[in-house]
Amino acid sequence: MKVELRSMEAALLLDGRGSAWSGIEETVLPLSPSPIALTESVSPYMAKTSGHGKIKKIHVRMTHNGRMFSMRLSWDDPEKDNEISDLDEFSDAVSIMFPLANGATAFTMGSADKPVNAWLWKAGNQEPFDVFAEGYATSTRRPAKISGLKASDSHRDGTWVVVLQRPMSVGGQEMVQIEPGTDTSIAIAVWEGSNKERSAQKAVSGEFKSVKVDA
Amino acid sequence: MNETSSKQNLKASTRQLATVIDLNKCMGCQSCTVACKNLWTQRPGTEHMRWANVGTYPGRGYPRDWQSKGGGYDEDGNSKPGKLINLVEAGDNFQFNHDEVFNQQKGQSAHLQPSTSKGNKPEWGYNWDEDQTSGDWPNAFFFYLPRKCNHCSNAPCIDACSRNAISKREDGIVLIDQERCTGHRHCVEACPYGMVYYNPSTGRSEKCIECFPRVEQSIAPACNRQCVGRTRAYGYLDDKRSQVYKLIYEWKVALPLHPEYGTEPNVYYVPPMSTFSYDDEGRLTDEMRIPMDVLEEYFGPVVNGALETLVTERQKKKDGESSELMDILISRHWEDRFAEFTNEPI
Repeated sequence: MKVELRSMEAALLLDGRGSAWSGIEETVLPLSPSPIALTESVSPYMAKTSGHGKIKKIHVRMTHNGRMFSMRLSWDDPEKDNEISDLDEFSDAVSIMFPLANGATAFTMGSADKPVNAWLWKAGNQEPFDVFAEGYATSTRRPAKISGLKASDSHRDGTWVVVLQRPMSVGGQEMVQIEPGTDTSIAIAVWEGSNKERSAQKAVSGEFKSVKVDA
Repeated sequence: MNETSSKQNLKASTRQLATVIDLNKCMGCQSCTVACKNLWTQRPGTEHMRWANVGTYPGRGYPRDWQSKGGGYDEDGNSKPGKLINLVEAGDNFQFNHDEVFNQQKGQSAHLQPSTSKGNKPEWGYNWDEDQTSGDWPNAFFFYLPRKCNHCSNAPCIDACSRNAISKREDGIVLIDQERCTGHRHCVEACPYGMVYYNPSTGRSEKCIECFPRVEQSIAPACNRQCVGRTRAYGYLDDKRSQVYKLIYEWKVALPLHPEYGTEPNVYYVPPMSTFSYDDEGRLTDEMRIPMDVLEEYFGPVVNGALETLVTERQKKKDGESSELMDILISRHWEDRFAEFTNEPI
């Protein structure tokens, strides 16, 4: 996978179905149910559940213009779950995670000395969250403004298209820095609301995958 | 951090507050329910919640069918899967056509009627099966069962929370950190008592907070203090002067509800001595009308001994003798019931 350099207005890319995205290489990542038994010590109740991981693949496109990193995520989902109208309903969501230290693992959401940073979009929410975690049960959702994270979404013809966008270089602590010419790594998770997926009940792309960032 | 040890830390407390409720005196007036609702659950998204509630039992209860929702632990201490609770089961938030009846001059044609929060005709609601009896005439029976969060010593909600957002305080009160909670609702599934509720407005889960701002000022929780039937005692489990201690450990007449759930709940109940039943010939017997197997379902086999003690002590009183137990349960002075938690709620 790679992040293609395109000198494009970042604002145009917020239209996930716009022509700005055409021609940018698309990778299809297979997804599988998260290894939820690993969460036994975090929540034995959650660890014993099954049937999660309903979304089986996700289409990924990434680009940057030297200042802004943009990512377009799309996946088939006939049921749009963006409104919680009952107490047993959950919304669709997608997250992209980056390691903040060498050796951080995506399955565990990092660990005490090997943290991770994630960007979390939830259907129906005004803004995405900027997440910091050092292992299961430690994640902290921070407001998008701390890193300048933006999101847009569109559900049409049974498909979600979500764009996540953030300045490549950010001043704050505990946030991934993306540099042209330097590889980064990503992992992706998708939650299917109609399947009552939340927390570790999700579909994941596996361990961190290396991504080339064009210079 | 070792996650298992962190769960133990989250469950730890130095003391444990507990409530005892005498089911012989509860008359189902819902004063506890209203006292709690007025204080805590009138905010957006909490309309359906009754942190304190009273139901007619045996019955489907509140939330509906909570006794078959699962959760808690099995005999070996393993977590048991549980279900989520939907809005109807949680009692909903009925709307009434007040405007139509009172302001549109339709008094003769329009009747006051509820609709669900989704605009439908209600099929279930809070206290829906009030006073519905079990058993056959002339031996029909029921009892009221007031409930709230049990602030369990082995709280499954703490185990279930994938964000470690739930913990026990030093005084044993279990709280959900509203900053850390993100509304995953594993706690809702895990609580076998159905006493955790989701707030769709905040996207977080909530439950009884044991009126901790009152407790910190030595004021009993509102449900306990506002009980007009003087059915409730409150205090620390290790306070040997408290009625809580005396009823649970000395007299052994206050029993946890569904101890088989394995959560070590801290609301205790004095089981109901029911009226006597009639035999086939219509003659009064000395058999209690609520069958023992029914009470055992709620309180386990220890309920037999507790009822025996209650009947014996009541008989002493009838015979003109003294009974410390009956004097405690009669509760002539309300202050006696609440240990040090007798300050005025002003």
